[in-house]
Amino acid sequence: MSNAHAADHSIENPGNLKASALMNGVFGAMVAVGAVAFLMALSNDPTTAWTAFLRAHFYFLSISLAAVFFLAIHWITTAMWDAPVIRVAEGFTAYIPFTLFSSVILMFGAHTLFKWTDPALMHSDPVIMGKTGYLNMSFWVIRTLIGVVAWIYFSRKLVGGSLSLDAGAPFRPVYEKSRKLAVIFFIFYAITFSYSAFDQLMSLDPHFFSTMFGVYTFAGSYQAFFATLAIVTILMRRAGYLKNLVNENHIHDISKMMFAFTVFWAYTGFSQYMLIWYANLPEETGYFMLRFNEHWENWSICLFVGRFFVPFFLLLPRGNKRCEELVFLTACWVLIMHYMDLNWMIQPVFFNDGPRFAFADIGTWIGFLGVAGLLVSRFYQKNNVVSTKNPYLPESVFHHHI
Amino acid sequence: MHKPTGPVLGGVIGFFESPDSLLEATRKVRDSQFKHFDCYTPFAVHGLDEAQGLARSKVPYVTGAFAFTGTTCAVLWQYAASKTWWAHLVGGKPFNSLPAFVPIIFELSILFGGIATFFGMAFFNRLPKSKRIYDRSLTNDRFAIVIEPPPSDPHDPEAKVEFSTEQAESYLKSLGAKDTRKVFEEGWFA
Repeated sequence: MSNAHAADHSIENPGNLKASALMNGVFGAMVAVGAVAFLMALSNDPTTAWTAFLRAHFYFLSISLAAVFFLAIHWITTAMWDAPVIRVAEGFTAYIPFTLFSSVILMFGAHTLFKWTDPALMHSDPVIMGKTGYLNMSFWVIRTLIGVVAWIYFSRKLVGGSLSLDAGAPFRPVYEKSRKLAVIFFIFYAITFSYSAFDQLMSLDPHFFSTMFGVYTFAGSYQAFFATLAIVTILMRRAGYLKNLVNENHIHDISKMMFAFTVFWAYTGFSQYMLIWYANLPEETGYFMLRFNEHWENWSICLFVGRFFVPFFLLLPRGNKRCEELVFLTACWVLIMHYMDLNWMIQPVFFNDGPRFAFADIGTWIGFLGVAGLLVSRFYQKNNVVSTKNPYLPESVFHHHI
Repeated sequence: MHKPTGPVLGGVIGFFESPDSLLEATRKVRDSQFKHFDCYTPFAVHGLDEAQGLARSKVPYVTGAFAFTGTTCAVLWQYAASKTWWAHLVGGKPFNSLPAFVPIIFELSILFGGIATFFGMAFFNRLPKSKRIYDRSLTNDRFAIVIEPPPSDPHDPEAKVEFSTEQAESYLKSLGAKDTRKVFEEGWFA
């Protein structure tokens, strides 16, 4: 639609998120609960504490990084549909600097989590011995730090460009710069996120290797990102901030993306499984043998049904994708499944006898949620919750769907 | 069947300058006394289906039904073939190996769904139809609304149909049409 049509509607700037003592208090309490849960478990049962920490760390890292990936796609494709929610996604990147802190903390748990850090085991195991060129502590630390620093740099630059529009910067130079950055970020993201998944999740079992692992982790995190985007957008809309800017067409679009990556997750997950099943190599099948033993089999099946079939059929009809309440519930479900998925990658290595669900597990996750909530809400409090100077905004607000 | 002699009146056409003015006029025609009309545009105009008051397309249901038929066929066929009709031992796997079936299940669902979408689309759009070429510029740079005479009663095809071309023309002019005239059905096969 042309701008002439949009001109008869005016766009109101909803401004910043109003600071709320209640919200800050809740998030602060969550951080306290997380710290207590983690520290209590650390003294009693370090394995539980560190697996819980790793899961929560990777959970929020993967979603906030997927947000940067989304922003990069936004700049490269000059997407129109997401203009009212792009600032919401930009807010998620406010969490990324914290991943530097949590990555450093994780290094203290490396000896509990990663068998390959044990020199005695390394020398007795020829397979691990052969991988020491890659799997050694100093290289692991360097890789992790390079990744985190690159993420902080790219997210700051991409979000900074968009924020400078609010301050009155002209669109064209910001667009040119962001587009170039986005292209470079894609390459960086593909490499750094893949090896982060390899280093922090796949190397829990140093014998196992799968080239699909990085893309599998990405697929899940991107699906979870759209779920988060849907939830935050709907909450903000209910709170009145995006009332006249986001309508059911935008909810429809976000749900479509969530649906698409539900299918993509199943596609990557199944591709990884089928090739390993078919080739039947002992060092690869060990991963699935562990997860299909009598204690973990139900979890594996529930994961596939819950993360693929449930959102697939819930989001398949058009009406469901446009129903705010249903999208909200589906998005919450997808986020629970992201937790289950990461749990499925981490816990079987340590707990052969089935899943654990201790206070430390959920408590640590709540702690990270509190940190993410504080950082992201602070971003919305400092900046407009909608990028009102984005030239695609009027077109997007009144766009129509078949 | 009633065979008309001479050119058949297609209706009254009104040309509009832009998609926006067309949309605005279409909304008014939709709510007017003229219940039979259609819009002609050189490209898909967003919001036009809503402005015309068209019901949602039934094609997705056809796609869905056939896609799930494809899924079922693929499961049954592969199960029957590899378990009973042509049981072959491949790589030491059981005859009834679901993971090996999944790629075919996926492909067959898409094949059925895709072909059904094509024919479903043609069916609901009443394609191929040859007789509605009112003006060549409609495929190039102009937008138009055609107000059609109400269809004749199928039980009484000889009955007179109430339709005033003058009234339709002046109505379209009042909506801002730049050019209005009567059009007759013509086409490659007419």
